[in-house]
Amino acid sequence: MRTNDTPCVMLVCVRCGVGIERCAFCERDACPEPICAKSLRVELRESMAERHEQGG
Amino acid sequence: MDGKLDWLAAGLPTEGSNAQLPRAGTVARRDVPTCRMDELLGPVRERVREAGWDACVVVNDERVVFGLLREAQLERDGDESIERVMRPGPSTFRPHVPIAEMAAFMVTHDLPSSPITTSDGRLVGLLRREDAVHAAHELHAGKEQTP
Amino acid sequence: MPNEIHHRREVQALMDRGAQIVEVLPREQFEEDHLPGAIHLPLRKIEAEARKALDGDRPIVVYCWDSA
Repeated sequence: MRTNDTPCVMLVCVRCGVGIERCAFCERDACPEPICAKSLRVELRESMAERHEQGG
Repeated sequence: MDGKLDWLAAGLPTEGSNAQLPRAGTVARRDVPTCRMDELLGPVRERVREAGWDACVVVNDERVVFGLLREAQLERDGDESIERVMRPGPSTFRPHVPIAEMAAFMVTHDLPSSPITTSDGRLVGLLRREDAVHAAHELHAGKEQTP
Repeated sequence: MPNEIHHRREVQALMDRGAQIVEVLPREQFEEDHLPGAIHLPLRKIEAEARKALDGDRPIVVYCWDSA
């Protein structure tokens, strides 16, 4: 049982370094190569890495 | 309009160098068994086994995905409802995702299968890791042979 | 008079009626994937080349990557 004193172990996105609770791809909290939702969208071509002029 | 991403995510046809390449939507198995949340596990399990599958996607009448049954869920008590045993809200991926990327992710993350859905959440099919890896391998072999 | 269209079904209906479809993303992205029959007019060239490339008497649909 988790108490207030129990530290929450955060994973680190392998692409951008942001802290996450679980991998956005496989949803596991013990994933060997965790990735955040934003980085996953870029990797899977659902988002662009950089916005170009005028957005879009 | 909502943009090219919306068009791709709906699985609509495109032109260009990527258009003929295998993607998640083209490799996904459309014959994956499906069931509704209000069914009981027992009859669904029987149907899934008879079809030779080890997974089933839970959908509504419009094929919107609500959950997934993998081996662990299929082994549960047959009198339980699908809604109770299913893995709700599984991660889903869009039809246009290149197959090489999907295969790499599925291997790295040890994901046996994943529902492929349109941006509306409607089921296109179930992408199995072995199919993704095979298609990615064929693609790579084809590229190596191209002068 | 420009109108905003938000749904791909509207775009499909316009395509069926002969609309010109224009993509404004960079060339590399256009060449990877574009809507069937789309014309490539990158954003920075659209003012200079639109009159030459497009028929002003037919509907024109312009699209980018997403709605952001």
